[in-house]
Amino acid sequence: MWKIVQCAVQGRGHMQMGIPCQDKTCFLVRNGVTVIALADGAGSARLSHFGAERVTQFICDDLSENFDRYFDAEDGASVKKALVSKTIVALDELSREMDCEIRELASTLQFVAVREERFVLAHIGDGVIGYQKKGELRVASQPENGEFVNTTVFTTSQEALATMKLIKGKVGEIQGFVLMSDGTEVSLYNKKEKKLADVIKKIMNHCLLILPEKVEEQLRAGFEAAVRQATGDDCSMILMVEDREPFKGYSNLAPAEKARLLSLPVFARPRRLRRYDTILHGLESGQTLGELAKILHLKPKYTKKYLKRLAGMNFIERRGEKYYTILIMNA
Amino acid sequence: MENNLLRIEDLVNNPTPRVPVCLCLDISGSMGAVEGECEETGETVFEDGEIWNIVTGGTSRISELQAGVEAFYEEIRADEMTVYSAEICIVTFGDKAVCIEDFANIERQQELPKLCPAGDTAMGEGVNLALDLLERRKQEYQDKGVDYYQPWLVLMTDGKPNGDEEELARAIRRTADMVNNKKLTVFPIGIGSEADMDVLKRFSPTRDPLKLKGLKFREFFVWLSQSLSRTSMSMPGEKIKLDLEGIKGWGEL
Repeated sequence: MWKIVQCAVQGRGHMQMGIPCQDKTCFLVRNGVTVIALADGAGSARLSHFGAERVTQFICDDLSENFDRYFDAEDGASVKKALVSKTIVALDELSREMDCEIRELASTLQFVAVREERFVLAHIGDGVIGYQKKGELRVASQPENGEFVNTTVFTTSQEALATMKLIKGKVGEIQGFVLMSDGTEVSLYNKKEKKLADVIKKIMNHCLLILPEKVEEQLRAGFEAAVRQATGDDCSMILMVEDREPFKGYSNLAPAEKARLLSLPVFARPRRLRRYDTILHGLESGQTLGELAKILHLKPKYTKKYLKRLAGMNFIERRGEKYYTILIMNA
Repeated sequence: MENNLLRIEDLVNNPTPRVPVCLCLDISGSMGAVEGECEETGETVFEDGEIWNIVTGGTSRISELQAGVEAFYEEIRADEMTVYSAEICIVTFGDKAVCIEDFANIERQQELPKLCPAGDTAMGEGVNLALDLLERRKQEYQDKGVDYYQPWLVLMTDGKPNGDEEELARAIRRTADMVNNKKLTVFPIGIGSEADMDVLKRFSPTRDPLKLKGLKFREFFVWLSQSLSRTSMSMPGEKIKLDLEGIKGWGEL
């Protein structure tokens, strides 16, 4: 089973100019196929946010219906042709609905579709597609910019077919895939070394330990506070992580597993581990520092050290005066 | 409690994409011409193909140009985005072409060298040097993995080119080809009534050159820095609409 989180925030430049967020993400799980898609609407195209939304929805639908046909095709060129021409048909329909030129709906496009042990991914334009394999982040598809940074290829460009990247393969030891737009690329992709930022691994890992809506909430906060500040562009990301050995929840772990999760020595003193148990269980319903200190029979300043450590691992969060456990306790 | 999933220290630090700008400035003898209230001394001088009356008072073109370029630097320094993206280089041409300020981030560029009018108008040599420097800078960006925008060439003259004709023809051909291939944005600017607008037009196949009103260098350079600011924030596929109110004849970049 694949866990999916997504995030798209309006860029500072677009906020100033009153232009909506043109980055769109979408996912679909249907017919045994899991698809994630991302599109970044062209800055010059007035209605590109509608185009980006339509192509991501269309590609999710299409891949969930035709995954096997695409994967089994020997000739990659014919798959590219089919994907581009069907995307154009979808945009053409939208242009008629909206009574606009098709170029007004231009966007980039990235997607990853997985069915059982097989995957297909494709990429038109800029942004990055990455994946994690054996604990290591790798790049599947690099950005397709022209010579200049503010030029790229769009779904409606003549070069869409020629520059489209299409990859298929076995999932094997791949643990997760990530799609990001060029706005996010500025902060989470080292352009010189062509490497993804390590924090993506951490985010993928948290998708398995924390409820997806909580990861999304934190991801959005991180995008607004950090990622968006490095660019004027919209920023978006969608990722899917395979839950091969489903996390059964903290409460159901053996002491050694708990110690590993909390980065404590495997033979951590039982009293120390029990203290963490008490905190994480106590914070399920929310507690203030003072309330928790009483439960632990510890001075607040020592209690705070435990809280700081757990917050650093992102297993708890603070809302107002109270602290809450966000780690999945019982799956 | 702060968000611990994605913090500023988790981000990679990519260099800011650059906009290389080369100012290719005429500093021939005629740029010493004075406008405004002045008094003739009765002496004359032959310079840049013409006889000139020597005067006292008034404001010379070159001093206004100097003030305009300084205003350009000030405007860029005051813009939080452009200050990190704009890289300026200055080529002057009189008897010969000289690079007086090589490409660098504007914060590292100190006081502007003083522009002194002298000699002929080797425009072709000046533009060729400017294009060579832009090409070299782009190569440096590519070698270091720095993204960049389409380079800008600002060509300012108050007269007719009188340098090597072959150099001029080569400069016009190179510039026009780059503009037609969307590899360069060129701003040809004529100063005063003697500027050869026909030659300037040949450098700019897609739009007419601009004739500067009076000696409004400062206004032009302020406008230029604002356009630069918009370019440095532009996103893929976005066409930069310039504010055309004060600068008629300019279209989209």
